Amino acid sequence: MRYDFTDYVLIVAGAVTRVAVYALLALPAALVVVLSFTSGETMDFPPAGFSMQWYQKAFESEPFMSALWTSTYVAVIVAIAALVIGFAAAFAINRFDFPGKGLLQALAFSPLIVPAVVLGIGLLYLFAWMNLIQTMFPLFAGHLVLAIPYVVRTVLASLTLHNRVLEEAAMNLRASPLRVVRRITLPLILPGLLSAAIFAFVTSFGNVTVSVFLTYGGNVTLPVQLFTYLDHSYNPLVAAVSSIMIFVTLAVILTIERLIGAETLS
Amino acid sequence: MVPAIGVLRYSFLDGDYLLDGHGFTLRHYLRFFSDTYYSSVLWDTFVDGLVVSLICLLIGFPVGYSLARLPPLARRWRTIIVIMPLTLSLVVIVFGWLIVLGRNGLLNSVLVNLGIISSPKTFLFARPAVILVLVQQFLPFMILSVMSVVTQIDPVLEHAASNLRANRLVTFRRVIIPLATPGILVGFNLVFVLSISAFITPRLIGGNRVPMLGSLIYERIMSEFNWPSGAAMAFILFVAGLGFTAAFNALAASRFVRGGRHAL
Amino acid sequence: MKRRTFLKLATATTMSTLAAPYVHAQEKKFAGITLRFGGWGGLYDETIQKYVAAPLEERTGLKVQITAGTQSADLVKLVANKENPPFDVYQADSAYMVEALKADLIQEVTEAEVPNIKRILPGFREYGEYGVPYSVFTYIPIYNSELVEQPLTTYTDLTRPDLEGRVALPAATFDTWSLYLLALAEENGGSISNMEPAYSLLEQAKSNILALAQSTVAMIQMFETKEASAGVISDARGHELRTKGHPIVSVYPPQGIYGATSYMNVVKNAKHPEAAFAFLDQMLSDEGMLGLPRALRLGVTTDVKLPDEIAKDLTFNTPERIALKKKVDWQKWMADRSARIERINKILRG
Repeated sequence: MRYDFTDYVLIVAGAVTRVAVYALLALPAALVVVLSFTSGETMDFPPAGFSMQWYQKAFESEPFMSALWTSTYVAVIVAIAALVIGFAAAFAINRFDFPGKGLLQALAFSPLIVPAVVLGIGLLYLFAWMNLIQTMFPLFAGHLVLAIPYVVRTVLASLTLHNRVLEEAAMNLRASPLRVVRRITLPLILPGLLSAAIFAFVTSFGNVTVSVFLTYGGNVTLPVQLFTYLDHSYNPLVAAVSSIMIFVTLAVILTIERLIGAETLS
Repeated sequence: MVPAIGVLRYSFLDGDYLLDGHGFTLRHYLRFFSDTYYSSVLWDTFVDGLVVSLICLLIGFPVGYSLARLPPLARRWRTIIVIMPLTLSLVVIVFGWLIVLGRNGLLNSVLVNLGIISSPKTFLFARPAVILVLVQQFLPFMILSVMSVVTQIDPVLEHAASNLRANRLVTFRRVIIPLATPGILVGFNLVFVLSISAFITPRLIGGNRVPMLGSLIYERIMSEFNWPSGAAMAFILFVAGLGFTAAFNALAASRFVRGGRHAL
Repeated sequence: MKRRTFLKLATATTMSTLAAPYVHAQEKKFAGITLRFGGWGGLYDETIQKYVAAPLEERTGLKVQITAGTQSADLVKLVANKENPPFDVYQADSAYMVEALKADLIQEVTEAEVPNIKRILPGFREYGEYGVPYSVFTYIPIYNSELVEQPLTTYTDLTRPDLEGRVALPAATFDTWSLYLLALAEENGGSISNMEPAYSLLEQAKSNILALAQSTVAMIQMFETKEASAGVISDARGHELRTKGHPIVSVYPPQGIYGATSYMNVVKNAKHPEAAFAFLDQMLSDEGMLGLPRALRLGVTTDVKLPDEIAKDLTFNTPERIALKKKVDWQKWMADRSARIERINKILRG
């Protein structure tokens, strides 16, 4: 490649921006992780010394651990369901012309503009009316409603870009439509699917405002537990629990990557 | 969908408490529009949302682009840094920021040591702090959206442009940006919509000094229990937000088509 | 796997319920029953678990499930599920009692059902037979003695010009915490029906306000980081800051102290009202009553004898102090809430 002056300016500006952005993004999380290892009793920075005592307390805390379990399996199920539903919707919007398509496209996005409180109360009443309130359904449904828009939008962007020539070629070779989707379309938009899955997972895993209305005794999610804990108390246990949340998310992301990544290679 | 229709219905109830009242009234909408306080907050909310989305676009695009062009292993760890803020409960992110922005926080001690300011200043509880935290919170959405489309742009196109003696700026403007527009739009829309409906950040970082419509709606619903009025405000935000993104997308789409022709 | 554990549990519970009459005929009165308690999270719930739930389970076999939540979200959940409420016991402060009664969520509790009600001090049951008061707290001015030279003595002192940019106040959405506004009004010739003096004072001293805290923890942080040098906080939290080594002085204004009471309520249509009564009775017993003062230095509502080392840290520990406690017309205070919130929002923005 040739370089001229504007190229250098762009390269330098790009590098500076990247460093700044990574620092900005990592900073709060890094501080929380550092504080979680403090040996002191307070969240002062810098930490008093190194210890694992807050992790021990976190793992011994029954409310936090059962909430962690609830949050994790809800988020995994929501991510899978959102991916399936969201992909189908995005595929339909992208490939087929049908009446009300524009409306569907706009609506797929709308739950994000309805303030979370309103959505939470709306769902609470809906499920109370269906007499399903003290079950897991409201939580699943609430998180799905929040996660699907991300999936639809991300997948749609990938589908818009990707080249249909391969699909058409496969169709010409008499591959069934399902097979084409599985063998050609899905692998080609994998990066998009990966981002979508991660969006869906973290949306569910971190949500407080909708969950707070839909949880019931014994099935409180971790963010709700943390949120109420923070109403009254504030100590490094909060940092330890948050760090555990970070670690769980990392583990899930790496697993998703491995699952999807392995398939790409084959 | 059902909740959205429910919200619309509630907003016309003539009561002021929970779901009391029936009939049909425009009273709650009138209260909003007859008081300049609310329209000015709505205006501020949109300006904030726009500022946050633009900053995210400006600093998020280069990162998303470079991520897409990195080899898989290097990409993985950087992606994880990008995703990390999404995994943290908002309340905890706010704690992280208090350590940075507080009066005896990192930023103040750096600035004082460098001699830029003589005594610690209050950075929290002001609009710039709210915007900074919103940017940090929603930037991952922009980066990941950009990344997922850029990975699908064949690098060959860039090389071709470069062979035609286009410098990077021209390549970006003529080739990459038009092709990445769907991802940029998704990111921009997501960040904008999330920012205008944010309420925890303005409340915690803004300390009630930086009103955004999301926090007013939250107060009306969860503190005053005036659901019809809260629903009306939510519906106004909904329509205004949807209208804005639709207009913006239409505008961008027309440019995208034109830009696309240029690139060809 | 989940299902199997559930089945196992269900079988075990059924078996123990069936077996109970033969094994523990008298003492395990509530074996196999789970009482659902709407908790407030953190150390608060831990204390109630330790001093109320645990001893009760020991004695009666009653399991207490404490679900952390907030007063307002729990209220909404109860309103949406009146036939089949998600809790048996709902906690509310003096202000939220008005809401709970207005929404018709709670039932009356009498001395016949909860014998220890007779131990409640006179004047503490503000709502007739509704609600069992178990704790008192006050919202008083505090200041950092290292940062503020001239001591504060009244609520009005918070508007002093030397405190510019350093005063932390609660968000107007906290109904009880916002009593400092009533204090500002009453100290300056106003009253609950004439709040204008408070608002105009606040308007003048707007530049004093650092921020309105959205939670107790946010307020504590502002003092820990020295962001704020004066403000309004609950008496218990002022004490907490002192024990952490911060030079915080609590002010007991001579014109009167403003505070509120926390109540426990048996929810209408509760699944196990009998168990709920037993829980409330344990709360009012010596053992239950001393938990919150011990852990959080919250005040008591019964004639329980307080150890001196706890009593010295409480606000209402002498007859003179008790005489300073102001009565609040909660109905009126709550009726004006919307206007109050809107007014404060506008003052801060304007």
